[in-house]
Amino acid sequence: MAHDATHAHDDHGHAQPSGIMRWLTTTNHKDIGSLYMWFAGIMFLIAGTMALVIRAELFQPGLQVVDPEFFNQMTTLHGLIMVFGVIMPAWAGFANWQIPLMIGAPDMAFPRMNNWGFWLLPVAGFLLVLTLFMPGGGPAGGWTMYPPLFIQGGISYDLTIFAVHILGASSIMGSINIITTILNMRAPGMTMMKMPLFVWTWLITAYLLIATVPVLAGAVTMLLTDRNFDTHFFNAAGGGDPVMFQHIFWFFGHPEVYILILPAFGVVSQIIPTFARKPLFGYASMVYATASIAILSFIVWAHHMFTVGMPATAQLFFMYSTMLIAVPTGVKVFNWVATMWKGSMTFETPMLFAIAFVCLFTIGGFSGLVCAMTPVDIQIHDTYYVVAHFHYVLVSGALFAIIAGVYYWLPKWTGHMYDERLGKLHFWLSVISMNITFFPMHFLGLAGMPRRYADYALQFAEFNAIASVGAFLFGFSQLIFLYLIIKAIKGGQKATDQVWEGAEGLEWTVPSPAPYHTFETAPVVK
Amino acid sequence: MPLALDTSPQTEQDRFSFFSRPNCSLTRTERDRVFWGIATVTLLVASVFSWLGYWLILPFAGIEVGVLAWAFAALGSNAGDYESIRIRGDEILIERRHGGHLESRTLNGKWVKLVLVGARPGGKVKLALRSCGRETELGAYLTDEARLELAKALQTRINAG
Ligand code: HEM
Ligand SMILES: [Cu+2]
Repeated sequence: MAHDATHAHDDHGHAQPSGIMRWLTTTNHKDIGSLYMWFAGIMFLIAGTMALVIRAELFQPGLQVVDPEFFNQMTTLHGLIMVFGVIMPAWAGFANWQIPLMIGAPDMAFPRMNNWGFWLLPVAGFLLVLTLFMPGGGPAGGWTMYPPLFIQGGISYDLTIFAVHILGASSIMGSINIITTILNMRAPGMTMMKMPLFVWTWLITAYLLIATVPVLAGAVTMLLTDRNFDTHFFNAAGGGDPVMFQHIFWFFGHPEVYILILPAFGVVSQIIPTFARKPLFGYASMVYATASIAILSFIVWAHHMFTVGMPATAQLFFMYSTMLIAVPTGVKVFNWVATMWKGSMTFETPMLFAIAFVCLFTIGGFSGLVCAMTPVDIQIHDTYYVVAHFHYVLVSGALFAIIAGVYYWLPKWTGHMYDERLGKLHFWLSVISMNITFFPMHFLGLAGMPRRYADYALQFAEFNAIASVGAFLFGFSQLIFLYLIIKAIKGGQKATDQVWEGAEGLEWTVPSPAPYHTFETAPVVK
Repeated sequence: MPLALDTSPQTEQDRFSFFSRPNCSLTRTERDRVFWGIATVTLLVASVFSWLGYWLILPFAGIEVGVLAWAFAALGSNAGDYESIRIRGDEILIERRHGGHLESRTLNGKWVKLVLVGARPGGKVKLALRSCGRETELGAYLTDEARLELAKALQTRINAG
């Protein structure tokens, strides 16, 4: 059969490699999306196990399970892997699967770069886990990598820095791909203000990544040169400024926390209208609120550093700018609630997780506001109150939205309905155990228990014991999720194209499971 | 990357013309604006840190903006792609632009043969015109269904001519 060279791009799917090569060489957005999801899932088990090591040690005061040095390695790697190896890759997985389907594009704009972007991740993940087997063990300076600790440790610190570089490169490739796909490959009629909110939130997230990842890469590179090449960017002994590292890190870090949560806002904004059977309330205000949050996220970084010493005017500036973010966030919460108001609601598992998201993320937002008040933060900084805050926004926020999204789109991905009864069980166990784990941490923090220590004073014993029980319950409940996903992949009730009665959008017009190639010719959106 | 914008063939009396191009939802000006919007912020941030003495951010920002520029340029290079078929009397003019590279071929309607392979939807339809032993494939940006429709229209036109 004669082939015209210019058409080679049309002919994928003809001679496809099989087995492992299929996955190594795939440029298909659905394949790559699945790879990202599985990678996130595996890393979740690893980082989750680390969390259970931490909670096992903290079950009782005193040192029982691990030695303090290893404990610190666990907190450091747990944080790094959860942020860079679980939440971010999971969102990239959703982006790959859903964005082309939602805007009517046949694939991502740069399929080959998409493949590289993914395959960098297992390399970085491997390096991070490898650090544990290096002389002196893994990095123990905290996920924030502050000097002086991070310029003093052994070889595993260099490996960690290298892994962060690789992760950054992967994020850049992913975000360039996402931005170009969304901007250039929308189907005719899919104007910007008709795009599903998930697509909008990812567009803004990708922008945040592009703007901030070089800052992180530069920061860790300067740590590396301070460690190995006698520079003194952050090394006080050579006239460097360790506090400046914190400024640079958080200039990246605060936008980063929005990178973790904006796609969650998107997913929840897809799910709630579906199960309330009403269009999203205030679509345009959702878009503007997302953009405002993103812009504000550049001018609040020093709220992580109120205790390092800064002029009162700076404290005031960062306090007020931080509190300002609560306004667009409030708009969002209001819109979700207003969408449900007088809707014909049903409570399938995705909706349950989405509703839990709205309630519990809001608790995390409120505790964030508490932290944002300088005088209060000087008291609670580096205590368990902060740990409670960021786990409410990250576990019941980002992670719950990921889980909700998986339940929501799993029938489209696999062609089978998941087991609803098990889904509900998973939901109730997760939501209850999550609160058992993290709510008492507010009390511990207010009472003065510092974070990142393997031991604590006796008066903190009860709440710590409760938190540890909750953590183990939460951890083991997630196995239900894994089982349920595998079960849906293997078989089960056939899903219809639309899957959910109230679902709207292009992804629900293609068959379930979504065929390997979709929208090779753009649909026309009215 | 290109996906098709379906333009159905136009036949009016003696003339036949067909035009299709890949779908690009970003115009040239928008593309430039977005690129500079992103590049400026990234480079500005890196410059401020460099000015403070923390210059190692700048090379990363530079590399990133470079990759971004390449990506946007690659989008641009496909933006002008199209495929057109015009028939006047016996003359069939096929024009194809791909990545800034224009290809055209003129065929005599009396001497062409329409080649259709896998003529059922979902069967990866291939449509081409053969003349002087050389085939020119058509309908790059179309679905199988649309390619079949184009084949039908062309066949009618060629038979009539
Ligand atoms: C209303 C919105 C929010 C406000 C006002 C807020 C405020 C704050 C403040 C002031 C701190 C510093 C506390 C301290 O270290 O003393 C903090 C820490 C943190 N926040 Fe938030 N936050 C908000 C939303 C979020 C979101 C959406 C996320 C992520 C999804 C997040 C993740 C974190 C993390 C990870 C930390 C701890 C970083 C560390 O020291 O390891 N926050 N937040
Ligand atoms: Cu922050």
